[in-house]
Amino acid sequence: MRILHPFRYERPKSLDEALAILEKHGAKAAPLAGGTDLIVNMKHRSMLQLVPGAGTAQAQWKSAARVPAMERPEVVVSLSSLAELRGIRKGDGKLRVGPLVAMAELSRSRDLLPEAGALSDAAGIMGSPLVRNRATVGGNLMNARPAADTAIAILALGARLELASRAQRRWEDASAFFTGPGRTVRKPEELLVAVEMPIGPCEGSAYVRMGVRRQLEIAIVSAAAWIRLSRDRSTIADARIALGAVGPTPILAPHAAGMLAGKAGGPERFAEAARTARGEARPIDDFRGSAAYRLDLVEALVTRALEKALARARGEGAP
Amino acid sequence: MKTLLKLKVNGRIFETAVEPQRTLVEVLREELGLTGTKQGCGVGDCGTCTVLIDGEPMNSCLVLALEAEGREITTIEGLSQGQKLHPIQAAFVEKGAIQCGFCTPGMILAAKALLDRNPNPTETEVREALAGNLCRCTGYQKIVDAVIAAGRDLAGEGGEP
Repeated sequence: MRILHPFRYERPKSLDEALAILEKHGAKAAPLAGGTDLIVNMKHRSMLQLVPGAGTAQAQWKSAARVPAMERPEVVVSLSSLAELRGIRKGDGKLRVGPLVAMAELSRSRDLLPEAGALSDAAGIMGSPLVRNRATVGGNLMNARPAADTAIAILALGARLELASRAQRRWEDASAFFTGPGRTVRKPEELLVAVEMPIGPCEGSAYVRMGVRRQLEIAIVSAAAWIRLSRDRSTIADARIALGAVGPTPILAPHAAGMLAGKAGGPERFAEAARTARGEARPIDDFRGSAAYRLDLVEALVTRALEKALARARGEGAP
Repeated sequence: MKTLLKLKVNGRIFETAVEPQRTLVEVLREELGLTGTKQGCGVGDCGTCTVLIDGEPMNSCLVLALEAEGREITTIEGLSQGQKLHPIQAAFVEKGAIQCGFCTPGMILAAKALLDRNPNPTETEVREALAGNLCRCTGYQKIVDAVIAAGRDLAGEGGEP
């Protein structure tokens, strides 16, 4: 049986109190949201040491992509009493999601459609139904796996993330947030306090994933697309494409997305963008799939994500 | 260091002292003697440790016991009324949905959460709702049949006084 190591447990009653604890303990403290990653990582034995070929960046990324880092925090800081980190708010051209919103709540929220449909899709397929009742969007983002479903979605949605410490609050673009497998720009004394996405009319987005199963799966490749149509909805005014599990972090495919601006959406145009996205992916071979297979998947999934995002932007069909 | 913990399980308040690293499934089984909840993989893959927390099914192996304070916890022991099985339990027996039985408590609780929301689910809805609960014996069909039958049974009973 896997048991947890002894640690101190703190359950601050306010954000200020939480930030004071993080400031005091720094990297020795681990914020606890849903725990579906943290507790698992805390139960993992030191498997990283078993992965051969440490040293090169490629090997490090491979090992980190395979085995989540073992975590042994001295202090576990429960966020469960911090009501200010909950809730979904839509208004003033923004969608604001509290990091403690559970995946199940996020996937059911009508506030996300159609503009942030990609986030709704991602929250609805991450983990299993049991995990989605517990796992939070903030946890999924901070765990920062290259295949983290909601991370790919918010990247396509042009999100920014708010980090708070005792000293300051700062906003960071999602495109600059993830720095490596399991790594973000968060400093040990900081806490993710909000995820905010710009939303507007004539927008739609979607997230699609390929795995060998539909549940309890980690993407072989995943793709998210966001499209804003012109006012008359005849052409694409702006687009973003994000890819999962084809690089050390979730990545954007800016060239593929850039090709779509000012053009009408359609099968040929999307196939062309998907081919360009293929060139922007940097996959590796691992036990989930070969790099070559992943490149083929990038093409297929980018096409599907664009089609679905376009349908949503046009207000067509099923959500 | 042990912390005093008040847990509300199946409508009863239990007071115990636990170390912070104890998970909910460990405390249910080892401190409260509620061994109906099973511990399987310990990392949220198999679902046999499923309990309801405020009505939602969750992996109790991934929840610190201290995090469950103030929440309503339902385990498999909370379903039957004395010797009378809950309709979902009865349907599992009736339809032959139990073989080794290790997944059964988790399956039944995940099914209860579904049927509480949707007493008349389609087969697809049942399979989706139980997707976090693994069974290595039955091939799932009889479990799905049992949940659908139990839903009909529960919906029928809802009309009675």
